[in-house]
Amino acid sequence: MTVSRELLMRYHDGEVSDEEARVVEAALEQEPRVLEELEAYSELGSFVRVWGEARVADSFDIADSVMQKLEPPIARVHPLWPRVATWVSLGVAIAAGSVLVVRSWSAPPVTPGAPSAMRAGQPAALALSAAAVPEVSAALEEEPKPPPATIESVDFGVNAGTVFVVSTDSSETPVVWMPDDAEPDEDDGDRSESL
Amino acid sequence: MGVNSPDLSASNQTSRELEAEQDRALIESAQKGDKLAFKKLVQRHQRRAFAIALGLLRDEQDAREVVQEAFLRVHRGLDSFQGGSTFFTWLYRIVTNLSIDLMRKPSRREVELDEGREIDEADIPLLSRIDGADPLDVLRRAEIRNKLEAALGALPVYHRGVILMREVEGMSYEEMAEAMGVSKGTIMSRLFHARQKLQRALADVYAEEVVHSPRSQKP
Repeated sequence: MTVSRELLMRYHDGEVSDEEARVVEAALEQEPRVLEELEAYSELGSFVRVWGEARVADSFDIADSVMQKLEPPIARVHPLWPRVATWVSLGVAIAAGSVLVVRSWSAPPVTPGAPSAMRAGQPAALALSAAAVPEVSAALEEEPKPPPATIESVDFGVNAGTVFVVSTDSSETPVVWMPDDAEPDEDDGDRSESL
Repeated sequence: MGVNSPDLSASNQTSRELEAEQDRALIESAQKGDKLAFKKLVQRHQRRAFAIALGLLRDEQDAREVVQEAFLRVHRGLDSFQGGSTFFTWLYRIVTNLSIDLMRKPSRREVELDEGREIDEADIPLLSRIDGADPLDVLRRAEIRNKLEAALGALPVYHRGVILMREVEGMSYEEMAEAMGVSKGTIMSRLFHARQKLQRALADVYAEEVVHSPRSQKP
């Protein structure tokens, strides 16, 4: 053959330039073998086409099932937002705790018999509880004052959390508890804060 | 002569361009949240996507699941579709990748090995599509179909993919290259080898065609 099989195939597929088409058409007129090869491509194409089309039933329709499986549109959240929200809510919680501590320190001085709030090595929660609860006799002598602080609400952002009070015989300790259920962080420690 | 002459190719190209234009309008609407527009896209392309998946996987249930998953991925990626390629080449690429991923699963490989079986009449209603009252002709068509099925099954999946995209979908080399993520040269090579293998597998059928063809019956 004067034309390559590759060129003949491209001619069959309509993927030739005008010049290449002229070369093939000249060969088709002069060489029966080229025509036979070209017809073989066509015939093979017909077989495959009929085979392929016959396999797909006219009734094939998955549109409804696809539409049913579509997820409802979800508001897009910036990838940094959950982490920012965690730290913001943690900051809010710490700020609320700080207010409690400051208000407690501004309360009347503790009597000498009371446990020292500033004893070295004392956990912060115990220090707060001791300072926040004055001795009953002293409190009765004074004008009633509002409680040291009230946590009405804490914004935990996207995280869940609770505020509760740990009661002992002599004190009550408010605790802002944030379970650490997010993805582990290198610097993630226990994010619970006792006040 | 039933070849893909330049005129037919141009007509096919025009039809593709019109289709791409309509797809773009539907995609824009779907990107704005119009679910009906997305459903129309599914309806327009589902059968062709299924034909490709079925040709690659040769299992109707698997093909159905692949096509469904492909459309779900298309929906998730709608916002990222910039229109740099046509919708159907994007869809076919997803379908092809999902099909190949599925075929690589160990459980699928076992199914792939089970290729020696004869095809039931109910599997492919080819006989009803090719009229032939002559029982010998019916038998011959069944033989062609079985040989073609076996030959296609023996092709590497990428070769099977190009032959189906070309012959069933009428895709250009460029469209196939885009859909399969390879160069046009690779597509040409795959197509050439796929055709050679199929022609060899159907060689005796061709020989009979020559015997039965009108030209060979001339005095």
